[in-house]
Amino acid sequence: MREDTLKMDFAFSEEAKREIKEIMGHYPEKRSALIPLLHLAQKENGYLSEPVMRHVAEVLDLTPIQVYEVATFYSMFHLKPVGKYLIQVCHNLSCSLMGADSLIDYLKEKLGIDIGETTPDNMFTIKTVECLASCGTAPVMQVNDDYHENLTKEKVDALIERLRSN
Amino acid sequence: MDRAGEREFKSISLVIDGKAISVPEGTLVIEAARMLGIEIPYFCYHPKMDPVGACRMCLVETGGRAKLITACTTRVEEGMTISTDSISARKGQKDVLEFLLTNHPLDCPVCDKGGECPLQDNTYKYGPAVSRFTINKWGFKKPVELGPYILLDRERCIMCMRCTRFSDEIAGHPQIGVINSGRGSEIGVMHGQEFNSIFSGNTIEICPVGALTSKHFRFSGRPWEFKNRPGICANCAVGCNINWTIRRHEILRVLSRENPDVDDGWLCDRGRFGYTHINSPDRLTSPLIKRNGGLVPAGWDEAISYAAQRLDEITLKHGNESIGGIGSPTLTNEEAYLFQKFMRKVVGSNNIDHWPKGNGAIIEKLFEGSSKNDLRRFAYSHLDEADLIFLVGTDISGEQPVLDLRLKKAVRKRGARLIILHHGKTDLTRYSSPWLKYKEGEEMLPIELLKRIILKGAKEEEIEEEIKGEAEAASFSARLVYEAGMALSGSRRTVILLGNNLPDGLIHAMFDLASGIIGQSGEQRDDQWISLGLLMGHANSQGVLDMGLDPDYLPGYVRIDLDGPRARFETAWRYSLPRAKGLSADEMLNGGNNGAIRALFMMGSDQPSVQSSNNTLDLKREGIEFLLVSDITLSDKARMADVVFPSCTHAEKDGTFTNAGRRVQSFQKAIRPVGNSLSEWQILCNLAIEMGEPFNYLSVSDIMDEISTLVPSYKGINYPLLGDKGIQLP
Ligand code: SF4
Ligand code: SF4
Ligand code: FES
Ligand code: FES
Repeated sequence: MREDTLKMDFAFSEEAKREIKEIMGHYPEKRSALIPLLHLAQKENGYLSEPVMRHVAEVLDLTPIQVYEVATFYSMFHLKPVGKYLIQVCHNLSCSLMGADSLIDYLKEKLGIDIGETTPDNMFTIKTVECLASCGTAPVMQVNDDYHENLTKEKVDALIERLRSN
Repeated sequence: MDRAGEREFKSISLVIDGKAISVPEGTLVIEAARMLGIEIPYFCYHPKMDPVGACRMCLVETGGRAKLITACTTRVEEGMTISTDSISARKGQKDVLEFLLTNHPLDCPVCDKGGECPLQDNTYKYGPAVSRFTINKWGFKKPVELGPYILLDRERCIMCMRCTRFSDEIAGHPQIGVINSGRGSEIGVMHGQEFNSIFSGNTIEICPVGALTSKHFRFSGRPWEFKNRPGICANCAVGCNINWTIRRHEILRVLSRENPDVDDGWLCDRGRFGYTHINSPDRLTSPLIKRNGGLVPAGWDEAISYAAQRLDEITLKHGNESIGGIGSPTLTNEEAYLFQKFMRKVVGSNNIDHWPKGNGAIIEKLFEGSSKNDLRRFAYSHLDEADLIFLVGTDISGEQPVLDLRLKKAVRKRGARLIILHHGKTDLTRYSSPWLKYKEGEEMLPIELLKRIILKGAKEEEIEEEIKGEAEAASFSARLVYEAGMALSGSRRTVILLGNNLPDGLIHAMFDLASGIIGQSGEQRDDQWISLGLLMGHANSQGVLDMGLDPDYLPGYVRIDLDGPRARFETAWRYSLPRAKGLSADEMLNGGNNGAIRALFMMGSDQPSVQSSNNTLDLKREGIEFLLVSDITLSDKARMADVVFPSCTHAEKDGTFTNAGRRVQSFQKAIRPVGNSLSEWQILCNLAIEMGEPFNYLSVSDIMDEISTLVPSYKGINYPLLGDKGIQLP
C-alpha cells in the first residue's frame, strides 16, 4: 500500500491548490466544484479516505455527508485503496446477456478475490459497474482507462498475464 | 424567488376527476386535487418542501399523455384534465406500491409506526393484496444510531428523502444524506458524525414509514391505546403547539400540532423530547412541612393552614412589607395574575417579581408612548413578509429554536436580507450580510454609528474616522456598518428583533432608530413598516410581565406609584393598594435586602425551561424566617423551604401562556395531576381563603374574565375565543 494512502490528515498539494482556484472559477456556486475536486483529491491520495472527504467538505463549505453522498454515488470514486489495475466489469443488461456473470465469476476465481477487493500484492481490484456505453461489443470491462471488449476467458487470461508481467 | 405580494398570480383552470377548478399558476397538481377534496396517495411530497418525485406514489393520468405523471412534481397547465382514479392511474399506483414493498419487511406488528403509518394506509387503500416478488427481502443489522434521539431501521426505508430534505432545506443542517446509489441506497450519517441538529426529531414525525424512530418512545405502545391531546410547549418562549401522546395519564410522546402563525408544524428537540419531568418519579405528590430539620409529608389542609398562620404571624411582627413573592416565568397568565393580586391585596406588599427576568418592560413602555402606526409590535408572521430582518444581540437559534426556522425560511426561500449584530457566531450568522461583530458588552457603538448613517446622513468616510479610535470594540469595517445602514433605511418591510438581556440604553436606542426611520419616510413610502420585538426568554416571560408580576407595575404596565391608573385596580379589587415600591427578585433573593424580607413565597417550577438556561438561582436563606415554595419536584429551593406545595406541570392544568410574539395561547389539562399536586392558581385560592380573602375562582376562565376587564391589551379575551390557535395581542 502506498504511503500516502495511510495518512490520517489530508491536504492538497500546492499545485492542486492552484488547480482548485481555477476550477472554482468556473462555477457560480462553490458546491458545484465538488466532483472535480473529488477527482483531484483521488488523484493525489489514490482514493477518497474520510480525512480526504472531510477536507474537501471544508474547502467547499459543505458538511461531510454532502461530500460522502456524492462520493458513494459514483463508481468512479474509490472509498478504499485500489490496486495498480482497477478492473471495472460491466454487469448491465447487454453485458449480462452476453455472459458478464460468468466472466465476473471467472475473474473472481482467477484473482482469488471478491468484488470490491484487492489482491494481496496490490495489483488488481475488481468492481462491477453499470453500462459502459459499449453494448455493441459486450461483454466489456474497463481496466484503468482502457476498454477491453468482446471478452472471452482466453482474452481475460492473456490480459491478466500481460498486466502481471508489466 | 417569489416575494409575497410582488407577483400577480395568473389563475389556471383545469379539470380533475371531472371537477373543474381554477388555481394560481404554479400550483402542483397534487395541491389542486387537495383543494377539491380529491386524495392522491403520496409519500415523498410534503407541502413545506420542494418537490422531488422520489417515490412515484402519486401517479395520475393526464389527457393526451401516454405516460402517467407524478402529481407532486407537475404544475397545473391551462385546460389540463387529470384523472386520479382511472384504470391506468390506479394500476400505476398499485404497481408502485408493489415495487416499494419488494424489500419492505412489513413487520408492522413490531413497528412503532404501525397504526399511524402512511405506507400501511396507502397499501391498504391502493396497493395489491399479494406481491409477485418472491425473492428474498433484504436484511440489515438494525438499528443504526443516527443521532442522540433517532434510530434508523434501514430495511423499512422507502427512500422518499423527506428526512434528508428536511434537514437541509428546512433546518439548514444537512447532516444526514443518501449513501450509495440505486438499490444500495441508504440513509445515513458520515462516520464519526451524528445527526445532532436541534430539529432532528421532526424527521421521525415526517418519515412516512417506521424507518426513523425515537429512542425515547420506541416500543412503548400501540397507537390504538393512545390519545393525542392538544397542549403548548413550555420549553421556551416560542410557544409551539403540540399534541401530547397519552396512555393512562402518562405522557409518552410529544408531536407537533401545526399552528401556521407560531410553529409552522415543526418542533425543536428540546420541546419534543423535553417532557420526561412530567411523569418523573421525582415528582412531589404531597405537601411537605419542615419538622425537626427535615421535610415530612403533610395533608393539604394542614400545609395551607400552617403556611397561612406563619405568613400572618410574620406580617403582624414585621409588617406587610416583610413578605415577598417571586414567581417563575413558567406560571400561566392566570396564576401570575392571581399571585400578584394575592401579594398586593391579601398580603399587602408590592414585593412581587419574577425570576429569571428580562428587559421586556422597557419596550412595553416605549410602545405605550408611541403613536406611530407603521412601527408595529412584532408578531411571528411579520417574518413571512419582511424584506429585511435585523437581529440585535440575540441568538434565536439557541434560545427560540423554532423561530429560527421561520427566519431561515424568510432568508433562504424568499430571499429576505438578514443583518446580525452579535458578538458571537450563531447558526444564523452564516446567512447574515453583513454580520456586525462587536466585543461583548460594547454593542452600543454600532447602534450609534447606524443612527448617524441613517438619521444624520453620515458618509462612509466619517464612519471610517469614527471607527478608527474604537478598533478595539469593533471587528467590523466602516464599509459593513454603512452597508447595513443603507439597507435598513432603504428597506420597506423590516423586522427588528432584540435580545432579552440587552442594556436599557440599547433598547431605547433601537427604538429611537426604528422610530427615526419611520419618521423619515415621506408619502411616497407609505407602505413602509418596521416591526420591532424583544424576544423573551421563557414559556411565559411575556405573560407574567403583562400580568404585573413585577414590583413596579400592576397588570397591563400600570405604574404602582401613579394614583390615577392605580385607582382602577383599587375599585375592581375593592382594596386600597400598598403604595411603597416593592423589591425586585434580585433584591429579595439577595439575603432579603438586609433583613427587610422575613418571609418569601417562591411560586412555580424552573422546569422545563429555566433549568436548561444559563440562570442559576442564588437564594440565601439568612434573614428569611419562613420560606414557602411551590414546585413539581424537590428542587434546590424546595429543599431549603419550610413548606413545600406540590404543584402540577402544564400538562396537568388549564391555563394560557403569552409567547415571545405576544400571542396568547390556551391549553387544557391533558392528564390528571400527579399525586396530590394542584395547579398554582388553586393553591393561591386555597391560601387566600385560609387568610380570610375569598378568592372564589372556580376555573381559570373566571380569572381570565377578570384579566380581560382590567388589562387593556387582553380586553375581550376569553377561552372560547382563544380556540386552538390563540389570539395575537394588538
Ligand atoms: S428514513 Fe423515512 S423519511 Fe427518510 S428516506 Fe427513508 S422513508 Fe423517507
Ligand atoms: S422552539 Fe421552544 S416552544 Fe418550540 S418546541 Fe422548541 S422549546 Fe418548545
Ligand atoms: S451493458 Fe455493458 S456496456 Fe452497456
Ligand atoms: S409523492 Fe409524488 S413522487 Fe413521491
